[in-house]
Amino acid sequence: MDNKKHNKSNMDESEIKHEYRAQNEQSNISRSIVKKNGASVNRIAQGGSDSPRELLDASIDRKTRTLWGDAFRRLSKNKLAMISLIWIIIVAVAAITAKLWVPRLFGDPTIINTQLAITQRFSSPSFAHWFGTDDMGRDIFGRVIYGARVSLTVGIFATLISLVIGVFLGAISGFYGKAIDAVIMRVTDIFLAFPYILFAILVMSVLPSQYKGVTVVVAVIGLLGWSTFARLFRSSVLSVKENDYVAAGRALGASNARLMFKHILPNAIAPAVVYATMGVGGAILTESALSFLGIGIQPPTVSWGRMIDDGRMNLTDHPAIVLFPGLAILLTVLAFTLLGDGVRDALDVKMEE
Amino acid sequence: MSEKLLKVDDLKMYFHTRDGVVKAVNGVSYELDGNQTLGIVGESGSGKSVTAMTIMRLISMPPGKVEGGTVTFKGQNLLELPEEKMRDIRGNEIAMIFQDPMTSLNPVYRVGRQLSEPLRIHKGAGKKEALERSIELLRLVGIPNPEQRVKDYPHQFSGGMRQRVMIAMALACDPDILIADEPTTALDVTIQAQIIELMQAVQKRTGSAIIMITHDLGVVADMADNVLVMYAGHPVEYGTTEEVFHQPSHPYTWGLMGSLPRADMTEKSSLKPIDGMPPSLIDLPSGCTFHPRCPYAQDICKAKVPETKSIGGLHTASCHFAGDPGFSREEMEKELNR
Amino acid sequence: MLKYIIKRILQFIPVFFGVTLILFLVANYMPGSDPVQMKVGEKHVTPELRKQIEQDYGLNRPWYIQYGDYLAKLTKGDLGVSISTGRKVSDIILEKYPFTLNLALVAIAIEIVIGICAGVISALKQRTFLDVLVTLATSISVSLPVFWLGLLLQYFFGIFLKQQTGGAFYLPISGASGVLPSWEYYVLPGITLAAVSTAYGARIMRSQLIEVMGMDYIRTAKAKGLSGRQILFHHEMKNALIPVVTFIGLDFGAMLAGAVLTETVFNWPGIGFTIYRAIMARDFQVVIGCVTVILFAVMIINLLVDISYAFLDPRIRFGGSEE
Repeated sequence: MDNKKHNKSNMDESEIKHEYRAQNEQSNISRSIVKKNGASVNRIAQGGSDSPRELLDASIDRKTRTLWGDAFRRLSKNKLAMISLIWIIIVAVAAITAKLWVPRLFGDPTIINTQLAITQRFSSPSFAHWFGTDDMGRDIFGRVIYGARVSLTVGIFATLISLVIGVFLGAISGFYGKAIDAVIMRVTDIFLAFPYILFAILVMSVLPSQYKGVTVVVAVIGLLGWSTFARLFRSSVLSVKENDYVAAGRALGASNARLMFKHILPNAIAPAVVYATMGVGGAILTESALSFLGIGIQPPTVSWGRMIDDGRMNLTDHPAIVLFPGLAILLTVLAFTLLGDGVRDALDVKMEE
Repeated sequence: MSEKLLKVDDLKMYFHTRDGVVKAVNGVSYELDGNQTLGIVGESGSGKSVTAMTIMRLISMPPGKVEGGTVTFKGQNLLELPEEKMRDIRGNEIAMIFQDPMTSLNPVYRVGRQLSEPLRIHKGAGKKEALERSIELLRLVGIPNPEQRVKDYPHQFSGGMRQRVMIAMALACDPDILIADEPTTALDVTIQAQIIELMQAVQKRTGSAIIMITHDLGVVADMADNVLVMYAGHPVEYGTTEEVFHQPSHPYTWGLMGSLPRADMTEKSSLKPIDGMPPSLIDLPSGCTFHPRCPYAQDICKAKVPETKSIGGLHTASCHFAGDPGFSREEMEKELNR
Repeated sequence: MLKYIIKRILQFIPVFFGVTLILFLVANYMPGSDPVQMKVGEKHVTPELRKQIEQDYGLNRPWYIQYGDYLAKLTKGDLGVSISTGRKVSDIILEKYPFTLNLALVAIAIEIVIGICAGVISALKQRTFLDVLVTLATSISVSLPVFWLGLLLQYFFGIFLKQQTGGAFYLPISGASGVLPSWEYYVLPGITLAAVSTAYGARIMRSQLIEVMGMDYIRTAKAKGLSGRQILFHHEMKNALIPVVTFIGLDFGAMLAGAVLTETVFNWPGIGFTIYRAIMARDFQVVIGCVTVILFAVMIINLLVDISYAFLDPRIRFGGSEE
């Protein structure tokens, strides 16, 4: 909040609003504490026993609950973010239910039917085949839907792995400090020194084909990406740790674990959540790049990147095979990026490295 | 001299925001002559800084908008000047220094360059000439070893020194008016005294006028010839320092003075802060803006905006009961304590 | 300042060892990375052959000795031999790196020019249509798969335009095999490589500039009577550019790494394309060797960028304050 006081160049709208919002928030918080714990306050005045802790918890809970509640409301007002969220839900639902309706309507996208391959190859978009068919006669639309299954799976789960590892290490690092912190930070340095793509290419290219399943890809991408989360979460923990209410909690004798989970975590997780949302997009891009190079997901599992690679040979005459999967990647990653932007604005998080 | 150096007449400036209209400056008037010091006092959010920024035209005009009044400087209405002419005045004839010296200097330029800037822009001085003058200025504000220091960067100076540099920078072009916006608030008490002394010495030498914006009555008592007390964008009391301090005529001024520790207090006497909080400038109270916090408020205070009543000489106050016999601080405190 | 530089160099050392260790482990101890198999390529390895090779190459010594040996070889520039061509990996790299380097330089130039301009413009015209446009464009750019962008550009500028204009106006889409191709060949791959970084660069420029514009010393500059243009170029840009410059420096390293995808799409004969071909040919020595070189280049660039920050920011260069 101190920053806001210093950055007063011209007093324009946002500065004024921030000043008044801060003033009002202060009074709101103190007024609500009094209202909510009216009884407790009186008890303190009369010498009550457990009220200080209740008061502290109430004030912290209120602060956190206000943060997320407010954030949801602000997010729902962001049109771009809402559109992105809807798009993601549509894609997810389509992907999850794919096996139920795609084969029936468009033919199984993973099978090569040699007859169809000859008669139907390279047909243009039509009623029967919304995006046309590829060089093997397979319906492109169906393949794109199937590709979504892989991309979303890899994107979400790999990011989850990175998030969990990163937050865990970042928490320990930030909270316990000193030697542990130094060691973990050096390790993050090492992982951060690797350009993401290069390392993924190195690892995936060495692995023989039987290993190149979705699980392995998820694991590799997940294990590569934790360092940024660790850094981010560590700095959140460090700054939250300094806050007065944590010191107050400690003075009341709260145990370290309790402090961590109830008070530090909910506030410090905000930047990590933002980065995770955008990270899903990044993971999807990495997976498609690996598949494009041929070292990611292998056929017959359908992957957008692989589709683009397959379509390369026929780019001149039949660009559709390259166009649609790429568009799918773009729109999906864009949705996650915009959603992440929206979440960041809603949580009012400043992410600086 | 019949024509004053600076005359602010019923200045009104509002911010038009999404949440409503913020009435930041609500009819402020005062005068200033050369060699005079005007102290403007008030709480945070009283509009004291915004008024000065409006005079300098440093407020972004959307969302800000001047809703009325004039600012006459050397016969010209500053509010109507085209921007290029205004730029000629800023830093040249009217200079301003700000509250936080730690952040008010550009960290990537040497101090000498920053001092030279107004000289080169307004006086057309050459690089060498400007540098020499910068060294002189540093010497003037009491910075030791100025020939070396002029090559240093702001972060190599302490807070008090930085504020001196700011003052030097403001004085570079010999301005007629120096506006100081809470220059000592961010500094140590001991340094505060030094800075105030410095400003008084400078005024003696150059004869410039000073507008001292502060929330500290002590500073005002020390430095100012005239005082303007502001509350919620309104001028509440105005007069010479003598008049206002010896015969404060507005309950808000009483409150400000009552909340100060005084030399004649013992440990038993309590400081009396003013009850309540300053109002939101979007949603001002009806009638007299101070009435919700005023211990002496009557029905008329809620209903009608008080006029500016003259009490004698330069002294005015905006209260329905200002100047009424028996409406003085001591009397009213006796009333309350009964 | 010296303290800062030394600190950075000290931080670099464990990273260097960590990276080389990981490379070493991946090269030798992962499933699929059988060093014996890698020496012989496609040939089937019989137990006797295995023993033979292990003896010849000292592959049965403890890992730390092998690691030390590996480091020693690295310092001498010995990266092994390519199975498919029999050439020394280091020779291949020396031959191919100028292509990648040039492409990266072109891409950085694009990023600097377009990225900074776009960032500055959108910061100055905040919340107007232009700003929204730039923000949207950068969001899209950041979400694009690089290789797909390359293919799209190839199709539109190389194939479609060629068809429509009867061969009059088009841009070449395949890298020349000659020494250094003429400028037209750089256009499409350059744009492709620069796209994502430029988007990030523009965003960072914008946010840095906006932050600087709100600073107190800008208010001071206005109060001194400076004009908008003077303030922008002398005060705002000088401050805002410092982190942006370091960011772009880091991006250069990223481009060297990301070149793999771009070079593959355009058949650009640089290190990235070499990696791709080696992957297809299962020529792992080449893959590992090239990745190693790029990694080192990136690490050194990062270190240099870090150190340069000390020169750019006077607060670090002339540290300390007087109290």
